[in-house]
Amino acid sequence: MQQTISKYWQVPARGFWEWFFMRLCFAGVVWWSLPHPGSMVVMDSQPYPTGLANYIDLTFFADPQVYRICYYLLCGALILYSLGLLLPLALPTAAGIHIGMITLHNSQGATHHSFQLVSLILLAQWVVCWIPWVRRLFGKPPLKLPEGLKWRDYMAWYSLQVIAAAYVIAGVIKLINTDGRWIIDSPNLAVQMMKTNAQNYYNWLQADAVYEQRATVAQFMIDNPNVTRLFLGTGLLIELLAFLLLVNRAWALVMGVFILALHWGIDMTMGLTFKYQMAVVAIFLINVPFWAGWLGRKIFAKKGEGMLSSDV
Amino acid sequence: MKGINYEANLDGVESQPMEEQNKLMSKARTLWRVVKRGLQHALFPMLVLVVFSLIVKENYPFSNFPMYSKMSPSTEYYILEDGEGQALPVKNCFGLSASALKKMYVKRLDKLAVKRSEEKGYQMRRPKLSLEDQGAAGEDLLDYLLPRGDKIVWWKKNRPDVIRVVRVVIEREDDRGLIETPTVLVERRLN
Repeated sequence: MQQTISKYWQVPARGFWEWFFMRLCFAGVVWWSLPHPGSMVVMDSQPYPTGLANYIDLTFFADPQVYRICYYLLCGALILYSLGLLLPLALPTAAGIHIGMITLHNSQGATHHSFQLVSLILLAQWVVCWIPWVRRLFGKPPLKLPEGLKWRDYMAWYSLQVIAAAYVIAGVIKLINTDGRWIIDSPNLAVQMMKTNAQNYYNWLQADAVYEQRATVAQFMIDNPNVTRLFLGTGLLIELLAFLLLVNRAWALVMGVFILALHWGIDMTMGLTFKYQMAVVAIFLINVPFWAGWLGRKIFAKKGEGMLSSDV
Repeated sequence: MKGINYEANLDGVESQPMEEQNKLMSKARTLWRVVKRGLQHALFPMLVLVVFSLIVKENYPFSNFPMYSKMSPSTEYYILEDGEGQALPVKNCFGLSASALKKMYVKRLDKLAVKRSEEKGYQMRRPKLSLEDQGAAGEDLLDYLLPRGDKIVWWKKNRPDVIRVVRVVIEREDDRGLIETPTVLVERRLN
């Protein structure tokens, strides 16, 4: 754990309440992202194993009794995590159940990309919180953190690292898979829009509120390829520049707003809602409690100054 | 050190090889400082994760997030129909989305493509598979889906006599706009 060297690229110190709200909200997202035991789908095999499922048979998670126990274990771990208690125990429990369950889900032959960010943040926080604990276990002296920083700051920091990496990867892979032609070919996204529109319809045989409009937008994209390239190019740029969220808190906020706007656009045009990603971005990047506190302090400081000057 | 005249250096105040060595050492130190700064930079862990994810690809919880990274002028989706050609609500039937249905079918096609490649001795890609193979992948998909449905109330109540897996290709044609072409891949009698 090294101190960052540049003026701007530094690990920010988190206040007690800021970190508490981050944990509380993130615990809520983890809980939300796992299906309730009552609504479990049948997964008694893992025909297309991914990740851990290549080495371990994870189908035991799909046993209703086992899953019920795991689910309530996860709930307990998340309560402890929210309260900041027994993190070296709570985080591996939550991460293990979340990763195990979703790995089984993704081993059915249909890879979902809704949960990776949540699992990876759990994993990153687990690794960070285990560093001082493992050192103590092996009799090594504790690592000296830079002044003013605590391990919780690194847990939040590595959560930001994971978020930045996820969006940069999504941008880079577009350039790799198209030999850099993604923006040029982007008007072809119209066919993908029509596909997702149809797929959403065939899920329940129900058209959503913007079903007809999407067809109009798809045609517009074909008729106006350069306007499409401009819009989609902006989206790609947001992904590629997501690393800027690590500059400082203000950049995290700005990039958070851009990423949420990107997701909103994807939702509107393609009907693909990345709700867990959006929640995670809102928690760690938009970080309302911190900015509310910051704004409050500014306002009260100004009022204080005003009172002082009127006294004079 | 090749090519340096050691004899000539004996007369000089500072020997040429020492000067060269010092310069080299200084360059190495500068390079190490740059590398160290890079390793300590805030972006380093993120870059490691980016490279790692691109290498391991889809291995949960890691992913290279390849969705919509290719921009082909055509794509396809898959639906389920009953014997009369009426579409079935995929989520109601088997508790999975139409998007998942496509991914599951494509995974089976990929598996068949690998098998055919091994048999023929040259690489066979998914679109080159015969209609028979496409139907076989559809049969395999139904083998997976139907036992799932047996545990779902909606399916048990509304099970049709015949089920079909249909592929719908969407193509972008300059003169005709977007056109859709459905093909029945497999049909199975259930009762």
